[in-house]
This record gives sequence, C-alpha cells and structure tokens, in this order.
Amino acid sequence: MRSEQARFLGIIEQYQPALWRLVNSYEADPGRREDLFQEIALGVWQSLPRFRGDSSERTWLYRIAHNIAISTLESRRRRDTRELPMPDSVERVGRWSDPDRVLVVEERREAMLAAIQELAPVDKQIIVLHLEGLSYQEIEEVSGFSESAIASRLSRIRDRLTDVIRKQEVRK
Amino acid sequence: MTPTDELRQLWQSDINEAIDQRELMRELERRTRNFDRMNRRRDFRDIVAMLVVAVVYFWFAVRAGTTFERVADLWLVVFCGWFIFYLRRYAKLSRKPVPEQTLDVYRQALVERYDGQIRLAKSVKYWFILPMWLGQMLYDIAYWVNGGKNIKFVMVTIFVTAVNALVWWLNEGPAVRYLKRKRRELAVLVGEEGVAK
Repeated sequence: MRSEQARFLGIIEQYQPALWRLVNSYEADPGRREDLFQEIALGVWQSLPRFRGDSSERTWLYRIAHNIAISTLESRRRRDTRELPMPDSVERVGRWSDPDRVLVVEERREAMLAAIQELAPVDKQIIVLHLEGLSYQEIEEVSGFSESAIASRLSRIRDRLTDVIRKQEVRK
Repeated sequence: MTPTDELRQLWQSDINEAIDQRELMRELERRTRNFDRMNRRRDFRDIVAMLVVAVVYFWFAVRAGTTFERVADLWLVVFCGWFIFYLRRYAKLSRKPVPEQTLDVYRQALVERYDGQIRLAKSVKYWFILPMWLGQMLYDIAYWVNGGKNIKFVMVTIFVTAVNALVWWLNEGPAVRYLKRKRRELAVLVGEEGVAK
C-alpha cells in the first residue's frame, strides 16, 4: 500500500503540469478545475493496481485523464450544472514571478486555450495530446484513432488555433 | 519556428500549479471511503428489502387458506427475488466503464450505457410486468375460485391490467423517448458521431 501510494504520488508529481493543462482545456471555470483535477487523480489512484505496463505510463495516464474529464462533464450535465464548492483544503500556487512576461504570454495562451475549450471533444483530445508532445503513434495508442485520421484532424486544428492567435495579435 | 512549435511552446508556458500531495491523498481517501460506504448501504438496502418482502409473502403462503392462494404468494416471493436480482445484475453491467480504455472505446461505452437503459425499459414487459401481472391475477383468480363475487373479480382484473398497462406504456413511451434524447445529447457532448477511424 505504501509503495502504491509512493508510486501514485510520483506519477502525480511528474505529470502535474500536464494534467493541469489538460484540466484547463476542459474546464473554463477556474472554480471547477480543482474538482476535475481531483477526479482525475482519483481515477489514476483507482486504476493503478490494474496497470500492468502493457502501454507506457504516459499513454495510460492520458487515457484515464481524458476519459475522466469527458465523463465528469457528462455527469455534471446530468446534475443540472450547478457550481460545485471548491475544497478549501488543497492549496494551489502560481510559480511565475515576471509579471510582464506573464501578461504577454498569458494573453496569447488564453486566446489559444479559449479556442481549444470550444473545440469538439475529439479534436480537443487530439490537439492536447499533440501539444503535450506525444507522437502520432502514441496519440493513436491513447485515442484509438488511426494515424491518418489524427494527421488530418491535427492539420485543421493547428490552422484554426494559429489563426486565432494571429487575430488576437492583430487586435492588440 | 513551425506553427506546431509555436503552439506547443505557448501551450507549455501555462503557469504550473502545485497541489499539496498530503491534502490530495486525504481528499482521495475521503472520496474512496464515501464511495465504498455508498455501495455498502445500497447493497444492505437491497438485501433487506428482498428479505422483508420474501418473508412477508412466505408468511402469507404459510397462512393461506387454499392451495391457489399459496401458489400466488409463493409466485410473488419468487418474483420479488427475481426483480431485485435482475436490477442488481443490471446495475453491475451499467457501471461506469474503466477509464484506462482508449478514448474512442470509452466514448462508445458511455453511450452504450444509455443503450442498456433503453433496452431495460423496452424489455420491462418481460422481466417486470408479465410476472407481476401473473402473480396479481393468481391472487384474483384464487379469490374467485373460493367463491368471490363475479363483479369484484372483473373489477380487480380490469384495475390490475390497467395499472400494469400504464407502467408498460410509461416505460416504452415517455421513458424510452427521454433516454433516447439523453443519449443523443451525450453523443454530441462526447463527439461520438462522425469520427473517422
């Protein structure tokens, strides 16, 4: 049990930034992100005893995270989208210290994030996996779609996101 | 810099947020405990309900004045057991799919849970209404065979049949339509349709 817990915390520690980015791509409401993160962490914790190393840890984790995110959205839709209270107990900490850089990058990133949040779920999953640096083969392993389907979707989504960022820069 | 590099750089520039691991573990253990407690309570409730109903009808069967009444009581004992067994078996089949499947298989599994509920509602006539109606009718016939009034027998037959017909209609009509609408909404939400493989 102890080693299982250490393993779990190791995975969470290692993938925490990626998981937060994934959560942000699904959840526009900052108050609900914490809850979604915890749902994903719970899914990882419960699935860990079944993990036999048939796939890489990374692809296994992304499958769980995306699937839990989708089913959490579905459950919320059924529960009549009311605001969930954010637990006070878990502390979140921002790590950047240069405010100018934060502002410039943040605006462009926010524009991209908003565009990603509006994508259809399948497109969102594929682009998030791609932006996290997974190869086409790994994305195929996670999503179950063929490499050619992934490539054609990615090309279209990339164009759309690039366009959104350019427009945001022009507006400035 | 390619568009991909640019997007990836921007994406990964997200402000990293840290979470207190000890608090996270406490929260997960709390959620797991609540989930286990909820399952235990549901199991306990089902089993107690099954036992109470079975004992009551069994007691009626022991005290029954005629063989016909005894058969009707025992029929309802068996039916209640069957009903709870069927619902529990179905509940196991309709649990959320395990999340480590590929995304497309998981999406299909989510949608198929609605298909299962639709099948359950459509087949209610076989696993609920027919055995329930037969048990109630056995009671009614037992009353008539024992010298009950014809008019009361007919009235009870009509009432029992009408109530069961209403339950049948509610399941196959409004319930199935509602589930189909929910299924369509889910399919759109999870992007189940039109995914090129």
